[in-house]
Amino acid sequence: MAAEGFRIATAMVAMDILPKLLFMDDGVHYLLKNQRPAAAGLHSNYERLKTLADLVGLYALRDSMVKRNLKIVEFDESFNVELLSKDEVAKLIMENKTVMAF
Amino acid sequence: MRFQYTDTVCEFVKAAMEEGHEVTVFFDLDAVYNLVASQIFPDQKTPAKKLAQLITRGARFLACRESARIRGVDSKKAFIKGTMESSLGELALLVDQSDRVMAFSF
Repeated sequence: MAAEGFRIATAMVAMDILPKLLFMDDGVHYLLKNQRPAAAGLHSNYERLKTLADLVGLYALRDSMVKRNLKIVEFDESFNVELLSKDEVAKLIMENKTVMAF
Repeated sequence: MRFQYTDTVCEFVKAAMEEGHEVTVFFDLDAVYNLVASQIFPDQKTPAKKLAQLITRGARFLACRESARIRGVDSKKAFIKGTMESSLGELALLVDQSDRVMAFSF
């Protein structure tokens, strides 16, 4: 679950260990702007995600966005999401010592 | 790790220790319920019993103190013997320092 991932990512930043956050498949929906989770009784992760975006940067798989008929302009500008191809995602994974999926 | 994967985790931990690896398991969020010593499942097979055996064999079990607190679980009394209280900060360090990390989540 993404919320668990954000929680652990925040703890890592606090310990000076900087993770990279990659959004794939339905996870890209987290990046959409103008969401109102409170309307569905859900807690908003916006502030935490914005902070993580500022500190470590956010990445999204371009294919996941395209398959859901989403466009980069629909993502929240304040997240400064960097879109990656599958090859670039593979490279990102190879560059990192540990990968945790949520 | 979350409770759905308890059996899988037990088997992984057992196998890794048999191969001579040091194993630490961090129980976060709802996963802390796995460590409650007093629970009794209908089939009489409690995860706590299996997990206790792994502690005896040398596995380190860490439970998120805050996850336990917000669920009303007394981390000093409720958990199986040998479980250590921990924090997300320690988890972050473990992720950084371990040779291999496996996350059992959805």
